[in-house]
Amino acid sequence: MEFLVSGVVVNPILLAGIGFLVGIMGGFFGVGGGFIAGPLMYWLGVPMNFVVGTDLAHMTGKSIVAAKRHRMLGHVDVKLGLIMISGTIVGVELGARLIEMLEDSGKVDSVVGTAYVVILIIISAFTAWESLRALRMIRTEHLDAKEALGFKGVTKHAQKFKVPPMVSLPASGISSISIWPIIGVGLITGLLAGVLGVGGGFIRMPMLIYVLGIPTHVAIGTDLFEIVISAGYGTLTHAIKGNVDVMMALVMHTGAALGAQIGAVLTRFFTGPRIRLLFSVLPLIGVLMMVLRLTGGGAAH
Amino acid sequence: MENQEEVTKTSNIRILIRNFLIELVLYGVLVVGYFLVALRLLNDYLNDLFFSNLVLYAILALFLIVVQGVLLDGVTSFLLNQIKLDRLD
Repeated sequence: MEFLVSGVVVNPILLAGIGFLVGIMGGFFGVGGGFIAGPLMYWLGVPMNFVVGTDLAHMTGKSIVAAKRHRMLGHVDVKLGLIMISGTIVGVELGARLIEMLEDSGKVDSVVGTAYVVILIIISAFTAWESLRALRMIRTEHLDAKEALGFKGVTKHAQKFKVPPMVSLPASGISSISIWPIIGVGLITGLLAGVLGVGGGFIRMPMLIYVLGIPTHVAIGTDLFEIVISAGYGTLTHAIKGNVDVMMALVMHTGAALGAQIGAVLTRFFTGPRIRLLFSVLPLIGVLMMVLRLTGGGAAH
Repeated sequence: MENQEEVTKTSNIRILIRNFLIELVLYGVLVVGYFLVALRLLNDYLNDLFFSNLVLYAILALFLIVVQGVLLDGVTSFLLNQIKLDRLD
């Protein structure tokens, strides 16, 4: 099928297949999946500017389905998501300015590439260590899987931080928390997302759990809610710049819609620590993709 | 007691897999129909709009993706409810 806007000929079944794959991951882990969908689209021959914009557009549609499904399962904290978005927007803008500064110095590729790899390896190692520790705690201390968290140091500090205004997050089981740590999480994840050029779900999801103490299932659903807003905004701005082939996004979304539903329902069969353990593998896929890109391998062009 | 729980869990997983397979077939039919009719018709129109009015194209792009997101979710949920599948979720 020829996609007239981007001027490429791609098999729509392959595009729907990519959508299906990242849809499952999105529904299950609460991530946009751009770090996997992007390189795959690039390998199919889609120009890089259309990869970024089109991926954001398909992510918007997919996250609507997954977030809606998670909301039905009681896994979305809308209040938390709305507070966090203000920090995210500021963070993304700061990240974009940082990138401009790095571009002026001519070191953007090496600095961003190295930062990306280091951050992803840290997230992966930390999540794997914590989830294994939590699984051991469930076995030895007979803890409920919902309560088992192998690392609570930062969470305790965040919840002790009593600078007003304070809010309650009943959907996350938090009776009182200052809005500043929430905005801070949005700011940091937005900054990293802006610098690394990704949606940031794989950074936000662990931060919600380990910094704010949000239960894993609610962190996944709320992350998806956040992605709907941020990817929707990204779609609009990229489309105005001529970087979105909406036909391609619609085709990808047909697969992603099904995958997102499957992923969301699958979370019911896994406990929080098990989801976190599986999640720890995801950043390593991102590392592999980035290393391939930095070393110039694997591209279709 | 544990055995009973195991049996229930296995039975639930079987129902879930069956539901997903039916959902997959329904989606397959919908998607093929969608490719053949809606997307082919939209392709030329969207291409013209992309080169003539980028702002309108951007607004329409977001609108289409949101509408498709809601519709695909709604249509399949409706179909599954109509054939009264014993869904777990």
